[in-house]
Amino acid sequence: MTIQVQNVTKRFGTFEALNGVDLEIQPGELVALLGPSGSGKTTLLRVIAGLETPDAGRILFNGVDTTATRVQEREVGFVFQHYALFRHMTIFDNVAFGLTVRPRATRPSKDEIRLRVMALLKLVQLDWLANRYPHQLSGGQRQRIALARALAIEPKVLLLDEPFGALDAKVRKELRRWLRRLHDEINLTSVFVTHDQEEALEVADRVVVFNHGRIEQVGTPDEVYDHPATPFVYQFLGSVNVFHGRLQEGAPAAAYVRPHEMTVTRAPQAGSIAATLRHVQRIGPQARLELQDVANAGTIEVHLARDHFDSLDASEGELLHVTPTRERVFRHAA
Amino acid sequence: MASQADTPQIPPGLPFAKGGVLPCGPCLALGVSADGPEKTTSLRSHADVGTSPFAKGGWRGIFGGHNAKTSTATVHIAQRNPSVLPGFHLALGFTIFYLSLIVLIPLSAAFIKTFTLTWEVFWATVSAPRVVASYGLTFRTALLAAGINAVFGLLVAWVLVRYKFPGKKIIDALVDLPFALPTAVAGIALTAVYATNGWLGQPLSEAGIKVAFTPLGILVALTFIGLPFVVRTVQPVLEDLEAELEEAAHSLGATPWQTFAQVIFPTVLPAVVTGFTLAFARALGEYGSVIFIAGNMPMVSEITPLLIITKLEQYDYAGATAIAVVMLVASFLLLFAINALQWWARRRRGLEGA
Repeated sequence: MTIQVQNVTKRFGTFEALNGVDLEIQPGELVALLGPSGSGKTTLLRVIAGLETPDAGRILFNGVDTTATRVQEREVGFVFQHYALFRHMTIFDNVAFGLTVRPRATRPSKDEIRLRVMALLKLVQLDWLANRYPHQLSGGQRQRIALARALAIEPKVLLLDEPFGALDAKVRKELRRWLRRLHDEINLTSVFVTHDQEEALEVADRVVVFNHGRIEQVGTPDEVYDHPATPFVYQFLGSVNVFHGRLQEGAPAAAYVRPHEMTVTRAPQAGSIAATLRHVQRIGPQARLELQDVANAGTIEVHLARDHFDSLDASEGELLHVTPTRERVFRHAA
Repeated sequence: MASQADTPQIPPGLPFAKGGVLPCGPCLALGVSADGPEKTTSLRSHADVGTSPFAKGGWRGIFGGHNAKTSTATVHIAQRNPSVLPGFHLALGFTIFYLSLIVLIPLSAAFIKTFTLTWEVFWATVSAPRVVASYGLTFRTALLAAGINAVFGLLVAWVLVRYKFPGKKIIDALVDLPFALPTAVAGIALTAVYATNGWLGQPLSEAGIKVAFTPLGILVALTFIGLPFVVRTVQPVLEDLEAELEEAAHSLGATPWQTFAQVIFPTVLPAVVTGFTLAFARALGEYGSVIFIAGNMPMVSEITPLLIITKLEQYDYAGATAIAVVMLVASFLLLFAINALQWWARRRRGLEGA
């Protein structure tokens, strides 16, 4: 299903959560809404779901205006960060909930509900837990049950609000790969909110970067990482060194260089910066260098391959020369 | 024993590796410095080093905050040392001593006094028709009043938690008034209002309903004094209810009524039952507010606590304690049954020990 977001604005008191957001999501796409806390990404997800009403703008599902449609009739599957499972119900009853609350006319028979729920539990690989209660499950299992529950109503679109945010790192990593595979299997238009850039880059077909209630950039993971449209996107997707300076005509500007897009030499090079090696951290195959700019005492972070750094044979306190291999210059906003 | 629930379980046959939890993978892999990625320095010697506009954001909050679970370790420690809290023996000793002093010793005095009666006299006293009628009246009205309070207390709590309206604070304070008011004052006030010439009693009696000096009056008094129990036990549970639960139910297509009946009500039900039990216990022993409005007609509107007082006034101490003992045992059995029911319900749901 195509989702169109047209000029959506939402305020909470004086706080502007969304400021004229436009977005189009293609059928079968898995889209990540990425941004820091308070950037409006969750608000947009809730507006799409019908859990919030926008102050202005429209939401279209397959070209049909659904802005005024109640959440009950929108046929969206919503997955919450903290699972929101009904703790007095068994796993089976949780998943069956969306079917059993239907009016008699459209409600499937008991046997059919049983078949569908068990099929969904198989899909999330937890059919052996049907008679347990939510608190008897681990976080990762609970979130998969929440997903099965959302899928039970055969939604037109799946919306996930920081689905892995409450899980620990390892489970989160496993679960997001699993989600990607599941999405490829069922091919349901899906939107998920995250503040974890790695999660967005790894899982999504397209990433929408939010900041201060506006969209900064929309693109594939490669596009947003390799060609950030704004300084914000540069900073938000991975770490970056910022060098302030002036362009030839004198306008103030800043150069953005990722830590792994720099080389370090013992001898000065053309355009290199002299810096003192302050600290080295070896993490697996990588050496992370913290250098101090001789000119202004600012800190420069450089990531080198471990063997490259070892071949330099540098120790802390030595003077080295840093050369950016790839940089992007943004003028300061006037 | 709690380890099963706490430790994330990885089901067999799933694409999950066995074993513990690694340190924050995403941070390591993407090369994000935990100190925040803002590094400012100058590219050229004539550069002006300004504050970067990007330094403001809450980077720390965004990149930090992965908490690895270490519950297995905690469990091992817990097994070696059953309680990490100090002073278990002292606290338990004090609790038993205190309960004995305040509850058990005075109550046992009632039993001891009762034992001065022969079995025949005891049985004659506690099974006299007038006394038996008072048991029925007391338990019936107390149960009914607690039931009424369970329904309307839930409603009051719901209104106080869910809606904003002027005067809400005043209404909230009003709820506690039955606690603070001397029960005799409540009884006299209720009698004045519900007597056949009172504000409410007059129109009611014209409609053929007599409240004061009937069992109905007792019900009114017991409902009045029991109201705060349900409201105050349900209110915090309603306040803690996650909005997400309701949103989840709505997104799954449930109507507001279905959401209330199937999601909210089961969640607050244990608190309602607790409030019901407290209101019921309070109503069983209530004396002050009832005797004014009840009319105290033998066999009709005479409650058991009044009979006990009557016996005391006749210097029949053993007779008074005999009735008291019956009340005590019956109340204890009933309250114990309600608690056992709740415990059983929790067990059935597997909530015990979680």
